[in-house]
Formats: sequence, structure tokens, C-alpha cells
Amino acid sequence: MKLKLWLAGTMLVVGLAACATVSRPDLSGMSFSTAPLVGKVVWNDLITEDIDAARRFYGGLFGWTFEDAAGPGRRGYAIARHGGIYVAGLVPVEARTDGTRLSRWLPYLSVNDVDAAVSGGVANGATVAVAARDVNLGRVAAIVDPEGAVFGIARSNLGDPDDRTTAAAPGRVVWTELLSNDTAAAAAFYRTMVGYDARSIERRGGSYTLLGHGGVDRAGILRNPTEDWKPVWLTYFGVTDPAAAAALAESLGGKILVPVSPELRGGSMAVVSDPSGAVLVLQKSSL
Amino acid sequence: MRSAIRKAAFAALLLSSLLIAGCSGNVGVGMSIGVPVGNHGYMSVGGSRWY
Repeated sequence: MKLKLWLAGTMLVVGLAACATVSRPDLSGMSFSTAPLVGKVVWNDLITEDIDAARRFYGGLFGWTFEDAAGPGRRGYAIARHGGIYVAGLVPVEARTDGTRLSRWLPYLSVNDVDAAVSGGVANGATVAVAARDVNLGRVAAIVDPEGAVFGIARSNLGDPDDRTTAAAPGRVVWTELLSNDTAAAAAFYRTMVGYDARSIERRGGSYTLLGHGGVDRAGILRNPTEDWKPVWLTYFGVTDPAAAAALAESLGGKILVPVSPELRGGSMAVVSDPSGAVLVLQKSSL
Repeated sequence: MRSAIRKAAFAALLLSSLLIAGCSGNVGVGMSIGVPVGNHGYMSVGGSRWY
């Protein structure tokens, strides 16, 4: 009998101690919608083969701080904070022995119904990277679109972070864009799966597709500017000076993939990779 | 008496499990995606096609 009491007490103490080591997130600087903001990128996770290097890189580049958020089903997970809001998560993965790289930024698009969206995607040529499942955030899944670009979908329990919370600013995600080899087919796919309104615009002498919902543009599709890159979802982060930020990224162990130049959207962006090879865009954003 | 102790032990176990599960709150996803990434090396074609 004493043994049982001791066991129960020990389990309770262990539980409390575990909780004490993982602080509860401070959401006081964030506000959330009551209904899903369909098509909005409501979360971004970095899948990384070197989470320690990633912490140093993103901490140094954007001033992010990190909180451990490991829990059931998310070992080693950390969430990044910037200016009073949570901006992203860092998911450690084991490097592959065959040399193929896994590190990437993974955007999560808000949908009304994750399971229905998965079914709709598969019916239109997608494959499922991770089947629909319940996590702390809500219900999520990861999808590989017909061209091979990987993205997540989510229905949040909290509601989606509203547009005031996620307003563009340095150190935060400011845009998300698909590089596609077939923009018309991609627009049709995401219209069907996510529920976007897709519209093409002409700018800088070329065509660009905006994906929106309810009159708000949420993401874009650009015809893949090089045959050397596979279709991919690119995550844009705000910076005040793209050239200086790219140089800083390089000094922190990253690589400059597309340097700032006047013909590249007026010198407003650079494409870099982090120390694990995950690609990100540094985009000039207003202060 | 033994039944009461068993119930108390179960309640303690349940409570500690709930506390652990709720520690990290509802922020983030943390789902591991093991899909290989293609080559995204240096792009030398310039920026003229980034419309």
C-alpha cells in the first residue's frame, strides 16, 4: 500500500517537474480569428538536420529567441519568438546516410477541413507525406503536390492568428510563394484543394498568380525561374536591408543562392540557405 | 480501502499525464517530414525571371 502511494506521488512530482521545465506559451501578444482564415499561412516549421546550428543562425539573423516545446510526438521541438509573437517552429530530423537533404521550410495553409482537403488533393494528383492527425495546434497533414512541392495544411483549435498579429515586419514571415513549372495547373490544384481564388497579374514584364480568399491575397505562384530547381514553396522573411541580411546569413553559416541585384525585383530580395540547406528568402519589409 | 488507493493512484497518473501533455500549449506543429529536398544551389541566371 505504501509502495502504491509512493508511486502515485512520484508520478505526480515527475509530471509537475516536466511541466515546470517547459514553460507555457505566452500568447498575450497574439490575437486569433474565430473562424479559419482559409488559405492563410498560419504556421511555419523548419525541418532541420542541425537544430543547434539553426538556433544560432535564426537567432543571429532575425533576433529570434527559442522556447523548448517538446512533447508527445514532437521530440526536440522548439518554437521561435519575435517581438511578442510566436513566428515559427524548429523540428529536428536525423540526417540521411545517403546524403539526400531533408532540411526545408514547411508552410501550413489554413483549411476548413483537413481530411476533406487531403482527399481533394489526392484526387487531384497529390500524395500524402504525413496523414491527417491531431496535434496540439489542431488537426494537420503534410502533402506533396503534383509537382513535388511539399506543404502542410492545418485547422487550428485556437483559431488562426489574425492579420494584425502577423503584420509584415522584419524578422517575421511576410510572404509565401510556390515556384511552379506549370502555374496554371498549380493554380487549379490549390484552388480545388485549399479553396483559393486564383488570379493572374502582370508585373515587371511577366505573369504572377495570386492566391487569395475573401479578398485577401495569401500566397503567390511564380513560374519557376530556373530549370535547376525543383518546384518548392518558398518562405519570405522580412528584413530592413536584404544585402546586409544576406551577408549576415553567410557569416552565420548560410549560403547566398540568389544575391541582391537591381533586376531581381528592384533589389528588394535575396535567396539564401541556412546551415542545413533549408532555403529562405530575405525580403525588404517596411519598419 | 485498496480500491480507494487504486483510484487515487490512477487519478494522480492521469493528472500528471495531462500536465505533461498541456505543457507546450497549442503553439506550433512539430511534425517531422522526411521528404528529400531537391537541389537548390546557386542560381546564376539572374533575377530577370522573378516577376
